Amino acid sequence: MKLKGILQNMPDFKSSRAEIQQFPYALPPEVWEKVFSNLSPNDFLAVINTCHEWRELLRPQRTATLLPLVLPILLNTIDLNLHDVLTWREVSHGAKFVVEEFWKSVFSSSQTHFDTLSKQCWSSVHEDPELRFEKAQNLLEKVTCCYTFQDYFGIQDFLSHVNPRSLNPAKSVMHTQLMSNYIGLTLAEPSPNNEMEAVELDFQKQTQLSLLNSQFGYNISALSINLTHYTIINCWAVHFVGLLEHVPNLKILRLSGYVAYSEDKRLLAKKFPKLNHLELLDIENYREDRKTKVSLTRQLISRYGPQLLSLICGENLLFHVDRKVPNSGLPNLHLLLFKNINCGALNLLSQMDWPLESLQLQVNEGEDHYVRLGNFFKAVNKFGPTLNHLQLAVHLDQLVGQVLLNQVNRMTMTVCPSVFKLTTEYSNICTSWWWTLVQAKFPNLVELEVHMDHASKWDMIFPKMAFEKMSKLERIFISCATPPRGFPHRQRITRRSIKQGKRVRIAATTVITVGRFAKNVTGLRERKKHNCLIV
Amino acid sequence: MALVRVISSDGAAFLVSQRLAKRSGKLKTEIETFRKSSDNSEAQPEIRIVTIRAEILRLVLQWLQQHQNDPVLPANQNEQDGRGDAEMGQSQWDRDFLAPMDLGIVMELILAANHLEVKGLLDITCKLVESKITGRTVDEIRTAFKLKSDFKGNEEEQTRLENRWCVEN
Repeated sequence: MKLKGILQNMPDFKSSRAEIQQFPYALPPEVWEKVFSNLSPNDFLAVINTCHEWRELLRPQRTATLLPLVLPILLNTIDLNLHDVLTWREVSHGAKFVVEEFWKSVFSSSQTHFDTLSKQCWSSVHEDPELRFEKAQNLLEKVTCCYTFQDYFGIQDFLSHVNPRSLNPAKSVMHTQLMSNYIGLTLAEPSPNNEMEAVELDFQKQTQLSLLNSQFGYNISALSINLTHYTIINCWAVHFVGLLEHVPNLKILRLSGYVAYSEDKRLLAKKFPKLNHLELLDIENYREDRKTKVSLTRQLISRYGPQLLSLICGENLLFHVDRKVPNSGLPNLHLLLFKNINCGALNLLSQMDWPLESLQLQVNEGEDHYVRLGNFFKAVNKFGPTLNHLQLAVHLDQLVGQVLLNQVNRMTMTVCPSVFKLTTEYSNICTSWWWTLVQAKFPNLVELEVHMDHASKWDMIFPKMAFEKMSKLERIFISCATPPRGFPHRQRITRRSIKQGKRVRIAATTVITVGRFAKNVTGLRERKKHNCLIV
Repeated sequence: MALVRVISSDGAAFLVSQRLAKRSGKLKTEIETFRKSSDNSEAQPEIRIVTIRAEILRLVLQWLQQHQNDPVLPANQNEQDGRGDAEMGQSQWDRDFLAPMDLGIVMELILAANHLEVKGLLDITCKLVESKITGRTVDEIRTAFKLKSDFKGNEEEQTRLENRWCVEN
């Protein structure tokens, strides 16, 4: 009957334009209310922006419907507190969805994961509250803790807490959305004292793990597995592959631990599941017996290598990549973080044609003297055509083969034209050959980030030199772990601020005048004593 | 003085100086795009904002007018040079400006400030909503936003259990 009424009120579409314009008002308000009852927040906004009558009609629903649109902006703007974010999840379905999307963007972004890890190695590690993911970093750590299970009993505890029925395998388990999209598992090997107990425990483990994964697996995009102790379980790798079958939407896979198992032929026969979304592999802390021919690392790279975009590794990679395969089976690698780099690793890198966009090379302190500077640049040169961001967490001046100015030309034969961002340690800037090298090698540099650990090194002479030497350089960030009192941890200097001699206020008592450059360094030192820098 | 016509979703046109308009990141980009595509450098740019209605657009422009001499806060937060929001503070004018607005208008203003990339306005409006949404119980938030629970099946119970897991651990 209602529909009949609506149809009677409908205007004749052949009628005049004026009548069509009247159309929105031809229906009774309660019908419009019904029509608009299921609008998405975006459509709702479009409707209330369209005409006054509809806006008035929908006024009571406005705050409720717009909340899912405003919440993501709030999540990015205000300081977050775990309790509040959890409360928002309980408010409505729409709010819950927004919060979960936010988690997803933080937890399952391989770029975020890469950025977080690549920041950790610098001498001046500090929290930068301005960076979006760092605003959520605190929360991230807390939530990660909640979903990192130390043992199988932890998983059991969780399952019985969130869904008591799921402990009964006879009941069909439903796929439930997990808040974090992340699961961390710490697996320990069974106690070897009592064989029967160990077998029993093993069975329990498998049941718990598969329960966890069958219930939440579809929703998990980041998985971190940590093997405690020296693990000699023969079937670990085979079990692990079985575990992967439950997580088809995995994006980030992190393995850590030391595994020493005898060659496991069963791994060769094992079919690895399809993980179409997998893009980041973090094996930096995963060690396998280097004599093992059928290593899990090798199998993972050969199976998922072509789809991997990011890799976080250490020198352990060297023992498990198949050098006979072109590009070692990683043809699409865009982000690479190589820790503890050594000569062997540099040689491997200099043979690869990976389309790297971001590269971070890290040498452990004290091991610098095993690495040759020549090899180092040979590796960097290889990625010259595609590289955008190069991070040198290396004290180049301590590497073997200190450069003489006339050698710089030889090293810089390959220009890296697309590198626009360079991050490095302050000690490198201080070498006599640094600017000659950078000028020749990275002519299109736009951003330079310099890390220093100590406030005493806080001298601002190099920014002016940098802007003079590098014509395209626009900004310099100086990060300092322990900056002078009142100074920020991260200072931004632009070409414009230097040109204008702009006074940059940093703290109430300290003034840096960028631009009126120190005419004599002695004066600068004297002023330093008075907690005031004139640069 | 160079002017720009900014048109709201419901067709109201506002004539503002380009200097003022450029304090919004979005309008600045639009004006620059117009300059590049137009042959006549004297032509007056016309920008249509399809997602903001006149009432809200007027408020944004009013706020911009009042704050036209403030230093521009970079929209891209990475670019910020160590100056905290706290330093900028909320002026008495801002408090009087926001006082008569109901929550719905403030929410629309947040969406508009976010769309037009007006960082200062976004900060003060978010602060206002923050006070209504942080440190509150589920029921208090539902009352403030006139929300009804729309969970299906045992979703609400499941969410509560999972939240409790996070709080207790």
